[in-house]
Amino acid sequence: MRTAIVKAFAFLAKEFHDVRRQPRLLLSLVGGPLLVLAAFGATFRSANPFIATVLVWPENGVPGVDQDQAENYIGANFYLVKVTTDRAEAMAMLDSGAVDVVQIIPDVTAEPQEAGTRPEIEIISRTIDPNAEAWIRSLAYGELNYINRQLLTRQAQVAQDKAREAAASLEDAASQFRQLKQSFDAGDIDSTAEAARELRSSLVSLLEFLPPISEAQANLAPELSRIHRDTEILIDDLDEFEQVLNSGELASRMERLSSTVDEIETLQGTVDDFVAVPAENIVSPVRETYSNLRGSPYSLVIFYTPAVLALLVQQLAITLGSLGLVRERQMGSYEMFRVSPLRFSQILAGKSVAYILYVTVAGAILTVLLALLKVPLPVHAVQHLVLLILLATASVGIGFLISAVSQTDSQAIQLTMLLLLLSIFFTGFFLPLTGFSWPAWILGAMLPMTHAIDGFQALLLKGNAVPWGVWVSLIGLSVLSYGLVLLVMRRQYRRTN
Amino acid sequence: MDRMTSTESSQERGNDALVLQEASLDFGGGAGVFDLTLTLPQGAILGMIGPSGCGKTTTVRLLNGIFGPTAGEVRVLDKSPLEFTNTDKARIGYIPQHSLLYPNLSAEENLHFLGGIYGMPSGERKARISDLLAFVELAEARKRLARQLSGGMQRRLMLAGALLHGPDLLFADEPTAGIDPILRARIWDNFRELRDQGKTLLVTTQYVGEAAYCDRVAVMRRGRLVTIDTPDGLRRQALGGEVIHIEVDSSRALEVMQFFEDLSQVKHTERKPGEPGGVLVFVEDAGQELPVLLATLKEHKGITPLVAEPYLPSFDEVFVRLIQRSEATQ
Repeated sequence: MRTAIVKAFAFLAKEFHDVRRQPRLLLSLVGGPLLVLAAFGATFRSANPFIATVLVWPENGVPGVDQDQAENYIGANFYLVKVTTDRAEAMAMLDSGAVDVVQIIPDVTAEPQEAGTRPEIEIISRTIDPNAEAWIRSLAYGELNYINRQLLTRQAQVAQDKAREAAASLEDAASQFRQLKQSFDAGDIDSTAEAARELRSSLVSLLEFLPPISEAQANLAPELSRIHRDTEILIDDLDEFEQVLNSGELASRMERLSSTVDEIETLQGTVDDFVAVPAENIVSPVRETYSNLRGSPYSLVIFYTPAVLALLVQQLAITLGSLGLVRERQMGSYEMFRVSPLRFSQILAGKSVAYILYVTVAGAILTVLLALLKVPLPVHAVQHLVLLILLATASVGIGFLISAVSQTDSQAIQLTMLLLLLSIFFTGFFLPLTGFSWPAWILGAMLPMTHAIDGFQALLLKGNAVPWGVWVSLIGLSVLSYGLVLLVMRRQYRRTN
Repeated sequence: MDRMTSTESSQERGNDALVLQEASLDFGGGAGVFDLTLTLPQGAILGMIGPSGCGKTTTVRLLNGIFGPTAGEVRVLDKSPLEFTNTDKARIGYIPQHSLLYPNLSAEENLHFLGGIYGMPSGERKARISDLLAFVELAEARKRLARQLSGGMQRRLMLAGALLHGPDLLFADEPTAGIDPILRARIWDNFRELRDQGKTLLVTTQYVGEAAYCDRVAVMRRGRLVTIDTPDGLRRQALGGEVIHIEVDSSRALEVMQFFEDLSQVKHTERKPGEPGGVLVFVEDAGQELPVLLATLKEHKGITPLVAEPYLPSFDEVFVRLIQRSEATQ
């Protein structure tokens, strides 16, 4: 046992001396990643695509939508180059490449060209970037909702104005009806009939301007549904009152008069409620409330730090591992090793300990230095250290596997770069894995970084312990990669040439 | 002490460090080594000489267990190399043909690594490293990085590395390749010193002249053993006996040659290239025949040679003659 340790330690010491004699390598191990992150933090502006746009605004404007408001709204997501009323000019700008998108707002005041048609907001681009297109379409949908909402709000405001006008008629009619009920004078009958007709006319006009009400909306915007209902009821009452008057049976139908007075008073209350509600609430009865129980999210730079840390640690370990065995093979050292009383497992153990140690130390130093970028320190230092060790172990194992299948160090580097690409796409680094179908999930699960991101996010950002699944996955990957390396390399080691 | 004992008896084979019995390793297409038969007693130096690609390295790899034979028998330290245990491997030192020094490690650190893979504890290594660096005259370069050492220094450092664990048997594959004659001589001094300490060495080389340093020399060509003998034995084989060099006046050289050709103890004669009056006389025993031939020449021809001495041809010449003979036989 002691001899086996001496043999493994020989490799540990060799790798230690080899790396310490390369100060640039040491610098790049820790300083390089920190500089990358610092540069990211200092220069990052937005994760959104940068899209230059020109807005074609109708000469007649959009009722209820202030042009400045619209410009501010669009400018929040697009780089608004120009606002014009000239569609041709905007298209010329798109053709010349001066802008990426042309947004044409329709003249909603114009009559529809054909029955059943409705005005369209046109969004035109020549983009080749699918992300940019998805972004544009998403924003266009937002704009559509915004303008529609503004139009409906405007309509609701008009309806509220009509309701206020109706309120005056209601007051007048209520007064007439009460007086008629008290004195039942012939003159009062005439003036009450006149007031009733005026009121009816006003109510019919109000109904025309009220925003339409659906069954679903009835519960969400009760003020709107009630004014619809009460107005229609009062109109019916007024019609019946008119019929009673015309039949000359008013004296015997006094309950009709009382009923109408009650309905007028009810509608007065409903109108008061309706005009008191903000117009926007009437057309958009549902609104969102968002609460971040943490307080506020991290900046994007800090949010991505655990993933960057995981990527750097993984790639460093894979690179060391992938070159570690292939260089020995290229040097012809295996011939020497085979003649000596040395097992391949002892070579692997010695090299692994050296590389894992280097990577873990580099990762730990990097974690401390990340505090300079205001990244929180891990809440469980020991768990963080163990996570670094496990990530390094699984990654060095994968590196050794690359070494096992590579004939030259350039092949090993190529495969390492390929793994870097896979890690960027299939670990949730930038693109969430849920956006892929299941084969990608398997691929992602085979990469140590996928699990390490979860672990580092828990420790650094969420203030939680590392989820148990992360430990299981990284231990599993370590066992799998080392098992495969032993399987492949033992055969190669035996047939050294 | 006769280091050249060679016998096939099993009793004496037990004393042999190396035994190859009709051993072949056929890579196909004519590549490999074939029908190698040789033995080497413990405490001797076997030099393996031959041009590049003749199978020297393959033979070494057969002997240290990197390859197994496709036919015949290979025994090293009385065991098949394919069955070596770690204890057996620890009795063997190996200097591969190419440098296996790590360029970013110092001379001392490289030796620590090599000692480490043989399981030597650190304290033991330190003491041995100091001794060995002195032995190969690299004590002052111990802190120097391997990449800063000259080719000769690197080869000597590898020799020190191969000796670090105290092997009984050393395989050195072209240890003198690419280094100057003075350093080569120094390395051979090291080898002879090791031999004198009782160690057995197999040394391959392309430098035919280095055969002189060996106790036994195996000449290889195209994967086959042309011959194996002592250095003197090789000369005898190459020349068909021993040679006396006689120089007379150039006008009488042919006359002298014809006179000697008629003598029964003379096998044949040749003109010595590059020497107008030089004659080479091939006999069985030069020391015994030289005074007899001189007396006969004086008595019958009245000629007293300007030079008369036993002739020792260079090993280059010996090698060429052996190869030519081998080709002629084939």
